[in-house]
Amino acid sequence: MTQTEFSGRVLAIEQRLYRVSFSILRNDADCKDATQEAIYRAWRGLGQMRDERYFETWLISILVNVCKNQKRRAAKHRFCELTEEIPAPRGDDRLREALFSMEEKHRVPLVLHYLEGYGVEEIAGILKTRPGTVKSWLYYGRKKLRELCEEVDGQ
Amino acid sequence: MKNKEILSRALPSMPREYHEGLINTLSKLNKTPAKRLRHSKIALIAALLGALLIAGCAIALRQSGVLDYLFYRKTPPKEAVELVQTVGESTTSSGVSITVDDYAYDGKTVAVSYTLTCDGDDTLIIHNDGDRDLGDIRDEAGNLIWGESGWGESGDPIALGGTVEGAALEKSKNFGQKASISPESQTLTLTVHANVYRPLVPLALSDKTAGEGDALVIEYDGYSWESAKNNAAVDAWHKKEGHGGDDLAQALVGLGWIEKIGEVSFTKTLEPSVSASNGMTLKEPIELEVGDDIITIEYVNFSPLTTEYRISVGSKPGAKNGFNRWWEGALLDAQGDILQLSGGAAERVRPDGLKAKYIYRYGRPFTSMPTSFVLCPLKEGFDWDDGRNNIDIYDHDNAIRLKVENGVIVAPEKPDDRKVVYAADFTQGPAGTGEILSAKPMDWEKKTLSQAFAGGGKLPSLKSDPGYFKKKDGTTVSVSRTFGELFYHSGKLSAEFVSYMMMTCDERNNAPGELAGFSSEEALGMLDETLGVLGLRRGRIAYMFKPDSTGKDKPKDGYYITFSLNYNGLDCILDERPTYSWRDRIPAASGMSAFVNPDGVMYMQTLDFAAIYETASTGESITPISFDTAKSVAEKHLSRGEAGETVEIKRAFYEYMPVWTGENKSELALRPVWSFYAQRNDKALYPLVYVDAEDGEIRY
Repeated sequence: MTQTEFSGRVLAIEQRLYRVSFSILRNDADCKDATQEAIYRAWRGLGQMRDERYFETWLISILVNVCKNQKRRAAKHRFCELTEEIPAPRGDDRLREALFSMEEKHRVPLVLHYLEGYGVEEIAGILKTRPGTVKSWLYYGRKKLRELCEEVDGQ
Repeated sequence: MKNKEILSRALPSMPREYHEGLINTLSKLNKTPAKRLRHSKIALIAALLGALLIAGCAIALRQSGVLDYLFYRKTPPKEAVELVQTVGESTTSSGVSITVDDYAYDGKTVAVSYTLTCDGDDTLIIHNDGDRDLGDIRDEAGNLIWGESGWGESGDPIALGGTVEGAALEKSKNFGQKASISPESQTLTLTVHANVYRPLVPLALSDKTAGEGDALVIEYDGYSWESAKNNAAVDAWHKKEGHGGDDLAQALVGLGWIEKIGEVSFTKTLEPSVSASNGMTLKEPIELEVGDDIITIEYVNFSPLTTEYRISVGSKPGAKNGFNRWWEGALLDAQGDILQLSGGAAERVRPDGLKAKYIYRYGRPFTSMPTSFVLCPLKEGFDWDDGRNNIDIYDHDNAIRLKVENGVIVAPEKPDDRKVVYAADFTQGPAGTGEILSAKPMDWEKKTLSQAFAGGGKLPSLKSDPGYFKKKDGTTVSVSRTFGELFYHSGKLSAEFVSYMMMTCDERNNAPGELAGFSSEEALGMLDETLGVLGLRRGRIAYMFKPDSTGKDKPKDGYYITFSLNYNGLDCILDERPTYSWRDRIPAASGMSAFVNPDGVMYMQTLDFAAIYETASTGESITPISFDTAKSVAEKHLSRGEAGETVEIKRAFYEYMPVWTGENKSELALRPVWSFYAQRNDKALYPLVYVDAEDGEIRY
């Protein structure tokens, strides 16, 4: 894969990359960082990819891993001075609060499945878990999402 | 709404900056990607730093003075106690009292424990001196007055007619914070404004009807603070006034929501209880090249009460190996013992000469002076299972040791001078004790791991505070929690919170590179071989599966294996968490999992929250009661209905479990037990009763 092809395929799914990273990190600056890092990793590890047809899923998998690492590090380290400002949130605040009140293990599969269209098997590959686990997460995620939406609608 | 619509609305649209960042990144890629890697050989090291300590800052505010603040748990070391000076003085004005309980001061930094009290119901304290999370503040009736999550920045707690107890204040002159402390003149001044409260927003009661995840609404006396609405008003006021936008007190006054009626000040001349000259300074920035990284140590403030430093880490322009590198640091004393792993110090390398600058503060004091400062790059990190499990692999070959001469950090004159060989990494000792364990740098070798994990054929008897276990000989063994590390020093295995995780991925030459022909037996053999290197033994296989290999884009397919660990012939299982397991999973989801492919064991991880890795070579032998005796005890217990239901025992295991012991049930002992399990309709096992294998008592 040439650099041009690589760039083209990355840009073709940039919305998807953003939404997936946001579903984990919930911060634009962190999303940008994580995605950049994932792109670097993917480019450097392109030779490890076995089938170019699955480039997008492969990149998403890397991105999820990077995001989780980044989130863990953010939890570990107490930053006292940040060089980047966190921008104001956009979109539906209440729904987002509801979504992010869910556990990550429920939230991320929901985004991958319903928003990004990945199948259970693919999500299992991305999240490095079993399909059965993904099904379970999706079940509980759907249930929780419905509950939260009812609460939001009731207000 | 359908799920897709809900999610679509919940997630924001992609910002322009994100797209520009992608374009920028893509434009900087090298022309050709890396060649296919022929093998992956992953070294191992498990280390995770004082996340607990950092997290502990948020709960630091207890009611018993600065010592708790500094060490936030019981039993601080004797030297730390000597840092603290008792005051017990008060001043009162305008219905507001300030009482300073005690402080610790090293000439640079002061930590103060004080109490603010409002006498009048209408009086409002706006307290701007805190620089850390304060948690909830409640009035004397227990009503929530202020909560950190509801007010954003923690520097603006408000007390209405109540008391702010135990508030602790830590200030350093180096950060330009708005402080009422002047360490240069050794004068502590605490100033609090007394105000009259104005109604904020009519009561909305949304906190009583809202569910989890809704914005916290703070109520007091019929009025409430609605975060979004009022924060917007505060932001608008700051914008209008041209302020920075982060001083809530200023905005509240400006908006007319409060009215100042007076103020009270407390002033005291501080006397250092220990000299800050024992710390470290930096005369000028030190820049070092390490591989493709450029490390610049820009600022250092180490004193007994403060560990602060700022490093910037960049990569050389065009460096191929940039970006995914983090640096972490440690302080060592003259004997090479680790005083602090700077859990607040990690830097991620930015590509192409970009630098990230953060200041890391690490508030835990040390009582023995550091004499060298070590920085170590992180080679790779993994995170699995919702952030609970992680593996950090450090690039010890490129660690830097910076010497300290007469309190000044100096750059190494030649590359060899800066080389340091780490052990597995180090910690400050068991979480929360304040105890500083020493750990000498040493080679991290498989043989030392093997020694560390060599079982002695005896059942252990362990006692400690929750969170870790301490053997009677004073050494500790690891208990996993959210974060932590396993390490080995001075011939003893020790740990702080989670142990993660030894792994070795020996290169398998001539691997076929495909899963085809790679049998489950072969995978298990490789797993056992790896475990053997680590001195571990595999217990029961909970499940093993081979993912669909028809084109899913995994790097290389293999087997996922979940198993228990076996010590001295016993499966060691411990977990208090319920699980929704399936198939014949290990009870209570405890154990380990691994991914094995033709290249070897690619990773291992703990599955559980509280797995005990008992490796005692010294312990107490017991003579367990027979299974029949234990079964009889269990059946008798169940027949009395004490388990609350009629159940059938489906499985029994011999395992360890934690048992609260001691007069106040404050100690956790690890006991061998016979455990009896029933099975739910979904085939998942759940525990019914535990019978102590030594005395036959029912354990809970």
